[in-house]
Amino acid sequence: MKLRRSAPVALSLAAAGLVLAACGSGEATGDSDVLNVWFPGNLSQEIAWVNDELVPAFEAEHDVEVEVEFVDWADVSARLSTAFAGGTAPDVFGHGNAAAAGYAANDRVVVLDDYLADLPPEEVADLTFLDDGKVDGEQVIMPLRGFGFLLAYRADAFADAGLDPDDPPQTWADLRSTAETLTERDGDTITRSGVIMPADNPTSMSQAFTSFLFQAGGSLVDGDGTTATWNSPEGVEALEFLADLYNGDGAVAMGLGEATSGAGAQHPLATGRAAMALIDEATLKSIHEQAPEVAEQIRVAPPLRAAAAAAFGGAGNGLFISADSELQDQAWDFIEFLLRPENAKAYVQAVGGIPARSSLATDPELADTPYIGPFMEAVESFHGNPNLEAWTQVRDVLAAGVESALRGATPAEQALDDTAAEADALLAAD
Amino acid sequence: MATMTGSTRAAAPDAAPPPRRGRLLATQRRAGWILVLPAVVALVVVTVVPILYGFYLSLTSYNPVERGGPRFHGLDGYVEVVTSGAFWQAVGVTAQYALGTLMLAVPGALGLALLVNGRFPGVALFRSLFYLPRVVPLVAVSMIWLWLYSHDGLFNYVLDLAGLPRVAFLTDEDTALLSLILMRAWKALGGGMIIFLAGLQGIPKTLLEAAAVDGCGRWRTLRHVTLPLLVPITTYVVVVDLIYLAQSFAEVYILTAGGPLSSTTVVNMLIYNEAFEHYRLGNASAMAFLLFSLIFALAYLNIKVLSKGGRR
Repeated sequence: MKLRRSAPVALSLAAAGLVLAACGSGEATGDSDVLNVWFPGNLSQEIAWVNDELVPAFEAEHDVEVEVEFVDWADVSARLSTAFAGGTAPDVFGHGNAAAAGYAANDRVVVLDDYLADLPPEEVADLTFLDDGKVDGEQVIMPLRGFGFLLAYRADAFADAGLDPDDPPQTWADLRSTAETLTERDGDTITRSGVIMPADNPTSMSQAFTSFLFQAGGSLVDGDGTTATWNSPEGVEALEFLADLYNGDGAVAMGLGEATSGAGAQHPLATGRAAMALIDEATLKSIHEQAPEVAEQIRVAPPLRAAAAAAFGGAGNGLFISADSELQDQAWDFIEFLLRPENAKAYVQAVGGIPARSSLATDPELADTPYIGPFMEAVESFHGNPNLEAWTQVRDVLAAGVESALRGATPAEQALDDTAAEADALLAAD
Repeated sequence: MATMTGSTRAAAPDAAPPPRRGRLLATQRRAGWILVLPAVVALVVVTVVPILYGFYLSLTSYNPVERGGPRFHGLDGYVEVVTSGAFWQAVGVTAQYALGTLMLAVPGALGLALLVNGRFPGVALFRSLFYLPRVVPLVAVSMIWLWLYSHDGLFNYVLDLAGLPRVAFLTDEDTALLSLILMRAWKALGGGMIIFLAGLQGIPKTLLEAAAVDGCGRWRTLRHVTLPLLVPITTYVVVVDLIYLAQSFAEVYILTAGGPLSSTTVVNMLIYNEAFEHYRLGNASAMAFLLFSLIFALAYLNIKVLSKGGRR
């Protein structure tokens, strides 16, 4: 009788236990014999190379099993934040530099200085983007590749318009006049943009602005990262220049908000709806892969120059080691293996971008690759975001202002002043 | 369970049940509890606990990347949210989106239901075709419409053929929300149509015949007989769709990601950005509960207003 009375209670406890166990948090990275790695992105070439070549070669050399998961870029931050909260972060994970300061400030990632100290000095010196992966002087991310934005243009459009394809724009004035020549209209409607910016979303618009800000000699924040400085005269000049490309009677560009990043055959440069475009190396790679005949007509110019020859770029995605990993040494082995010259080269061949080793700058195969060579040559001109904990929020604030100015909704100076004030509050709280 | 309890109560006033019957009832009661217990436990664990935890989070400052866990700060998050312009702008966009979609979808669904309520060859095919969008997942529909709306998509192709200028459906702040509404209304038509059709077929034929005998034409029959009798169904469709639409996210995320210039940033998009772009889960939870309150109030108001209309 007593047993019968207690049966419902016991059953309920058992059921609750089963359900709770099913959604329990678990410890760190699950199976401690398996090295869990999250790569950002879903490029089929990258997935094939990592799964079929890199991982088997690493496993043959090291006594550890590697389990790789590819996480779409759009989901990386959300997936990682929930993994951190649930205690299930992978041993190694990839992300962009913008995330480095936040993870470092919250002790989520391992400081890699001790591992780097064990490498031969010439090896360390060969790693191109190391400094971009430092937060407060400590190495927290190992950049796997670099990226950057350069002006790409259609040589056939230049020739048709009587322009010399071997003489691309070098200054803002050149860019403006060339764009005016190349713009085609049907009445008041632009049917072919003279030039377009990466403008598929506010973030890419802010990256276009940053390129021109750097060329004008401006900066994003002050030296100690506590005050936004993009509303300087250089910033206003840069944003007004960009806004004028899209607005007013003399507009030479259209298509704000349309897909450009990684758009491949649908990129306006490939479809013929733009004659010039500020473009990153991964997007150019996608055009070469999806529209190879058109890509033959696309050339890449060196960085534009105003006060300086510069462009937005620098370290692209890199790898972190989770501070909760029980396999930190093996995790470092994996990163170090991936950064070996032959693998660093194969990685950019699969993903695109600038190789993480300066010794590869002279590699003839890479130099001849039309979507890698020009970006390798311009590597010194690329500058990136500051590594600040609040940077993603600050960047979103800037991006909203840049979008507003590019769409003609807010004057450039006001947009920059308003966003700088908002950003200062975020930086102060950082 | 309800029947068992009811019969027990019915027997109770006269006399206590005989001992053997009492034991049987007690055993049945225990069996009932045991049978529903797994469902109750699952419901508590996957629904009640997360809601309570979400409410707790809304009273905290919580960044999942931080190691400290949630830090209680009372109503500070709610104050921050209700004093932020972005939240109220998102509420406004959500209201425009939900009401705009309803204004197209409800009459449209009723119209379709009236069309396929008759008996004619191929009616089953038409019903299936009109219901088809309901069956296709919202994400797939959104992807298809993304292409339809694109610069080189079908809609702009048709405009080209008609000699009209192309429209930046999703990338212009003046047209983006309307484009979302059109897509969502199209998606909602089939579901509403089926419910209205059920309502139409539930109307007693005698009433329609009586109206005809009294000399009512089709329009007057619709106006004075059919529509008043459909008020409960309409209430259901409006309230359920309103609750669903106010929580929209997937289609916005795919088609516009809240842009351009935040013109399509619905509250759930803002919550997503707050939680997973800026890691402010406390504020995101506060927004979620405020959204719940607003939906509840709006749905309650709808029921009251529409029910009143029906009684009249």
